[in-house]
Amino acid sequence: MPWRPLVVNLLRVLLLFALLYSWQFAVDAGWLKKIFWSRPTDIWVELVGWWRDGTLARASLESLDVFAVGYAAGLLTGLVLGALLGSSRGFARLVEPFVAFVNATPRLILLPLFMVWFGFGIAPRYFLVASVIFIVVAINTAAGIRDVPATLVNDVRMKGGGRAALGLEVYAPSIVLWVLTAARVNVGYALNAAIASEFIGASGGLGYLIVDGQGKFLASQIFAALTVVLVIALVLDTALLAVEQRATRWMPSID
Amino acid sequence: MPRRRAGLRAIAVLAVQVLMVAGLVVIWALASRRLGVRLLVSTPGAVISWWWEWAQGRRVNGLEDLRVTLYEALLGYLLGIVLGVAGAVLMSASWWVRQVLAPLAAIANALPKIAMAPLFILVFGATLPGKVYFVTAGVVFIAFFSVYSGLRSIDRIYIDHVRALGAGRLWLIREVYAPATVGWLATSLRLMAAWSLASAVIAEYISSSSGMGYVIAFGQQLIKPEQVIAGILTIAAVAMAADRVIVQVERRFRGWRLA
Repeated sequence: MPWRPLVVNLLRVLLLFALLYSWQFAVDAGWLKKIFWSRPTDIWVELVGWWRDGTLARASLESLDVFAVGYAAGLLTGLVLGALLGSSRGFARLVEPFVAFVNATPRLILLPLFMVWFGFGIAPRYFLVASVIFIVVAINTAAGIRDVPATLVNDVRMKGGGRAALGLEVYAPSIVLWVLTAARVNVGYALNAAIASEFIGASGGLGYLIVDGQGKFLASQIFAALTVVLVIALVLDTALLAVEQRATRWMPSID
Repeated sequence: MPRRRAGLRAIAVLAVQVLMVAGLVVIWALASRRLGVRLLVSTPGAVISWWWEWAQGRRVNGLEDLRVTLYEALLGYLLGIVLGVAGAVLMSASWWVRQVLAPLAAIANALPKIAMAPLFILVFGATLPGKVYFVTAGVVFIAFFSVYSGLRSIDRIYIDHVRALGAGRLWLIREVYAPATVGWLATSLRLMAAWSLASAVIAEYISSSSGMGYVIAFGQQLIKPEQVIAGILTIAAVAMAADRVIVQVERRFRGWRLA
């Protein structure tokens, strides 16, 4: 039925407009308080203003800086720790309870501690983002290494493959696969951490705009900043999905 | 003989682990003899004595803080499960509803929930319900998507088979839908627990006068690292304990799963 997708898409757009319209209507009619809920048109005006005066680019870049540097640092430390965990059974057994402890701890609450340790600049924000994702990367890296079948390792060894060949041709693809499957979840965590880190002691960035809006009772500022965060999250997620699908194209589909 | 060696090794591993923790504490204690370091990490003794005085109710609000945080986290957690499961069931009911709403659910899920904390505080104030709703918003999509995937992963053959045997709606739910989704939900319960605790603490941190988040924020304002560290360690211990409990519960119910 070729008309079905068309109708579905039409319904989606209609639903979105209906939601935005009823929001606007409810505020105008006085059912929702404007000071709390703002209005779609006010949020739009706020966004256009940010676009014109450069706030949009500045705040987004500042938040993305925290996100990207923290993510890269978390990825690197996670890969190193994961490689140790995956390649040495004794080491894995020794540190297992510590890994479980760190993994169960809500790391987002570490920011106050990091701010005492690393100052009130951008450094504690990097540490927070890295701390949120590194353990997930480590666990997945270790799983990727253990997931390699022994027969495959023996096969490559028998054909004369050394350490380098094993690392690049056998272990690396498995690690990439495992880390990639966790990458989308991790990007969500890292973005949460980056925004949350700007709630405290920051003077810029999207998280700062959100708390600043709360402090000044400017609901449109909060909603506008949340809209930007949402767009960034969607773009990152879509990009990662494309990477994931490309990287796993060689695998037989499970469907 | 091999069994005995394995037992010996387990004891050795445990001994080394205990030594590692002891070593960390000793390094911490030695390093904090210098004033500059002590201002950053306090001392093990100060953290323990602060915690003891707090537990007896002589600091901040005492154990009441922990109770408030756990209450918010637990209520938000349960509300998140109920709403998530209900949403997934409703959405799976009809092809049209599913098709139209799926992108909206995905968009709502993509929004970093922590970013909404100030919005909840603006709308609900620094009240308890506001924090519960914030926790719910943080975990509801985890439950929703796990149950939704579980319901969609059911092989038509099972449904047709049970129907052919004369099953009605209730029977289908008990024999096919529930077992198929329980496993999916169970794997998300641990993740939801960690998130609900973190969400509650962060909401309290931003604006509150009780709870572990308040303990941490207050300690930071007073420049008392022992209070910040004791607060964080308490939450970490609670999170770890909650995680263990959920793993145990999950293990008990493992039999009731669709293989």
